[in-house]
Amino acid sequence: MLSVDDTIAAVSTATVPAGTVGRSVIRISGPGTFGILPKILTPSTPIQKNRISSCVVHVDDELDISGNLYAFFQPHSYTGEDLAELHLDACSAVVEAVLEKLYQHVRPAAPGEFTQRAFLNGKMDLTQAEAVAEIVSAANTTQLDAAEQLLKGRFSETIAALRHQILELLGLLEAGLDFSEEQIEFITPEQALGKIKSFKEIVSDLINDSVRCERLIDLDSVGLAGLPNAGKSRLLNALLGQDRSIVSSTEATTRDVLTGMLRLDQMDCVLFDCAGLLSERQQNTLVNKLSHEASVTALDQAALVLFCVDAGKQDTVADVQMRQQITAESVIYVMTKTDAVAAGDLPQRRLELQEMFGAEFILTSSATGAGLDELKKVIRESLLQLRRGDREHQDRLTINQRHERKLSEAIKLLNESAEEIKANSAEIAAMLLWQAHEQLGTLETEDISETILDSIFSRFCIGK
Amino acid sequence: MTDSQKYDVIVVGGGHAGAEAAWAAARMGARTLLLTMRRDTIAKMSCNPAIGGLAKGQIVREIDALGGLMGEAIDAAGIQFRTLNRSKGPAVQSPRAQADKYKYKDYVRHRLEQFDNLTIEEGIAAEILTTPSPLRGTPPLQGESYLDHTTQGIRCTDGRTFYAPCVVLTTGTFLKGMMHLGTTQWEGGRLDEPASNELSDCLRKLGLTVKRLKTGTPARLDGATIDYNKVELQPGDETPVPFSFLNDCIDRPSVPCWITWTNEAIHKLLLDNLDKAPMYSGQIQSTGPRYCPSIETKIVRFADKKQHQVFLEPEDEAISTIYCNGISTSYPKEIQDEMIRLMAGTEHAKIVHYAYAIEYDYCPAQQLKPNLETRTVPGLFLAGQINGTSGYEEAAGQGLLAGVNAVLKLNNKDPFILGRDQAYLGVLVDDLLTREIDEPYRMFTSRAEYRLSLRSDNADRRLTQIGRSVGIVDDIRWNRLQQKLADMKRLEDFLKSTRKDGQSLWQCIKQPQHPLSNDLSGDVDVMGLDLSKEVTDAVMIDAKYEGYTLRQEKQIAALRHLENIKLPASLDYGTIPHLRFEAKEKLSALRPFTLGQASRVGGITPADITVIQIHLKKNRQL
Repeated sequence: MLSVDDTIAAVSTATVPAGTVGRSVIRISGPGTFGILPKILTPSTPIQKNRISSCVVHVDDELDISGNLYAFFQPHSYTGEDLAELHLDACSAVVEAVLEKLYQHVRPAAPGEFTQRAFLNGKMDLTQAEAVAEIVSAANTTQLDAAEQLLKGRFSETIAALRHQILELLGLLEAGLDFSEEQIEFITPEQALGKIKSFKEIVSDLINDSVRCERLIDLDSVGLAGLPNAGKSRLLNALLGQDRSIVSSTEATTRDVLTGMLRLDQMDCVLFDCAGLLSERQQNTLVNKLSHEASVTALDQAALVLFCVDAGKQDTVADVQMRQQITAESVIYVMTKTDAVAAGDLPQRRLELQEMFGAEFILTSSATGAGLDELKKVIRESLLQLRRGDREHQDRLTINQRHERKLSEAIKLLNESAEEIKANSAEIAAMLLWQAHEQLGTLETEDISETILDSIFSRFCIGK
Repeated sequence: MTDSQKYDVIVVGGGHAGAEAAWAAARMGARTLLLTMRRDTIAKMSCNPAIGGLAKGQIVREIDALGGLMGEAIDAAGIQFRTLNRSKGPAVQSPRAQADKYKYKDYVRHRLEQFDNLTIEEGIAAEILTTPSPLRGTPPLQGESYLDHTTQGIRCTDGRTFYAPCVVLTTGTFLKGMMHLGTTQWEGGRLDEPASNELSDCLRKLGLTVKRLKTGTPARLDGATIDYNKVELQPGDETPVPFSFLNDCIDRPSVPCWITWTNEAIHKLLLDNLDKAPMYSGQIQSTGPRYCPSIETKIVRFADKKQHQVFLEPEDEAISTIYCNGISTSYPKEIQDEMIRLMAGTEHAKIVHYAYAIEYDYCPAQQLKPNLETRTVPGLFLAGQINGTSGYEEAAGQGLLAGVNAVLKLNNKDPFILGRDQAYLGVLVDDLLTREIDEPYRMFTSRAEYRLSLRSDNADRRLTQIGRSVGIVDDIRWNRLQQKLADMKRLEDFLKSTRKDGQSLWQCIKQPQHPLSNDLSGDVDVMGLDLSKEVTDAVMIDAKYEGYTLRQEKQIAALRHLENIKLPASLDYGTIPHLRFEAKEKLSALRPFTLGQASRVGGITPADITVIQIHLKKNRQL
């Protein structure tokens, strides 16, 4: 059950696809906010009301990154509670690491929860109530839908079977506690440990076999790839029809959120720019290397990759090397900045690139808009085709961060439970198993204790 | 109307629920009437001559901590005490005791008779007197949506009337009781006692839903006719632990129990005659408890088991009769005789009372408010088996709560409601109100999600303060608790500040391998503090579970917040915008009283709860 007076946190720029670099804002709200901050970061100046201070975030033993901290004291904040915003310029892998650390102290916020608190704390006009209810309800529907989708196929079958097995073990442990006068050995500690071990293996396998997928809504993602300064950001902006990112001619300066929804006829998709892609020579710092790897992974999971090559660039060896790092199956080749090349030279240039990459190129200019409609058409057709073909790949497991966290949490609880069984504390072990079961559960309330009693009574002759 | 007919609270029924209800009401100063069929059957143990057991022992401790009677009664009448689950964690350990059932009921009656403001009358209630409410025809008040009648008192079958604004019904198995022994069936509420039929009809007329349940009781044997050499001895604990927080020790010799077994010859006999068992011939239709199966049910359902355990439990200190725990049945007398003849140790035993089954009326408890008052008839409270429960302890706990709540209602005070995180009694009432019951409800520790906190050792610390605030805890109990808390604090401070091998003693207790984790009282330094074992045990258990109870506290805080949000009786779920259809349907049917209850209804999501919360807030009902 959602509490309304504990401390919560979440990334509030939720649309950054995995792997992209950009500014991420982590929002923390609740009474524990300022008590927790020192556990993950060191501010350059003491935290003050409504002030921005730079800070150093301790991601792990090896990595510290800098960020900005915005402090809001209750009731003068969005939620009406103590609230902090941590602005980080980092790839999502790093942001996730920070979150993981944060979640050791605070609860992950549920969809719409910041807004919900804002409302409950009187930070919103009552006339907005309906809208808030709708948001929460919609978030719920999305979650239920997502849960339901997850519940189709192999993932769900495995989880359902596992939940059933956990309940069965719980039944045996509970029977040992509630019916110890029966002189029945319901289960030995060794048997219980064996079962818990097998549960852990099942969960680990699930995590290992899964593809991480951060898509909140079920839209295809299209990634822009290419060397730094290949015109990816400009192309993204041109396709989205808005100035979304800071674009400069200095390599690798794109540091803002580079994502947006590309509206195509009945085939909307999420377009994102992997600004973190760097040539080998540029992967010289840990942060750069991490962000490069994350970008490659993100592209790997994209439905479609637009590979961009600067039309005016003569030496394309580095481009080819970059292309080789991208393992995506569906790639559209895009020649960018055609406006910078004399019109007469374009056909020759196109032939050269086609020879080099062994594929057709689409000629575009973000400055003039030339070729963009054709590119959109090709994107749409490719996605359509992919979707038809994708039916064959449905056995692939996809889980998102929330699910992965739950699975990891379940493993942790199973481990603790095993320790308590070894310590002959079945009552504590049972509590931890209940919690593990809950982590693997659906969103709906279930009458588990009755299920457990049912399983005991149906299997054992109990009672005087 | 004469003064002798006018009371504040009338309790109908003198069983374990009724005795506690009358006790609580009288203790709170209310002019109380206890109406019972027979004065000498008050607090009679109609089935098992024992109190406590797993989860039930915790309930007895809770009743005692709240100032109830059951703990003191069993301490006075117990003839054998055992702590169950001794080898397991302290949270699931429970006290249990065999009682001298005659001493037990006499003790309770004497205690009740000591009140000047409590009158005991013999009689059978036939009707709940009500008046149509002056509010009839007008829009319902908040919290009283079904308001139809208000309670005025009762009329007895002999025509006598007694008046009180609050009536607590604790009718046990008496409402339209139908007893079965073989193919014979007759009306009756208990062995040799009549059923109560008119009252049941009256409840229906008042608009209450009434359903049937079944239970049973095994045969009693003449204690002098058993060959104790052929059965296994089961002694009690050498150092009995008392139930009541008022008692330091039990200073009485222990009477043993014995164990014998059924065998294949008995199973064959019973299977061959299955057509004579009312449960299988179709004569009994209602559901019995799964945890208390009759011997015929055990044999049919678990055909591969060659023998079943039978506990031979003395019903009094002199062992004049023996209760055969484990072979309750409704076979005819001649089959019962034959079964006893075939069992080791009882070959020549004489059956004093034959086993029988009984069907009776109960009122599904979704019709109650959390204070155990009926939703339909203000002032009418139900407690015990009438709410679909089984067990003396479950009944007594409800009786106590109903008695307290009746008086609180009279005094226009807030109702006395315990949370699931506070007490097994809270779990009990919450379960009854939110669950469909299709068999007599019995408490198990697995029903309590906060089991690690709801222990028998800390019932006083959980509840005595609350009992004090409503006026049922006297000075003696209160002062004892204060002393214990001070002692515990002293020990805790000592353990936290004393270090050995680089860690505090408090830390040592948490390590399962450490000698201190099992017993503090033997430690030399602790002995120097001169504390009772009760205190050292309590502190040790606190330390052991500290990490886990802290983890649960967050959950509990969230729960408590929702528990405090009342749902107006006038709330129309159908009109709440954005509430899912499924949630609308379920909540409209069950009409929970708090948001906490709503959140426990199957199929309800956290988002549903938020949507309702927002709706309430918007309409300024929060």
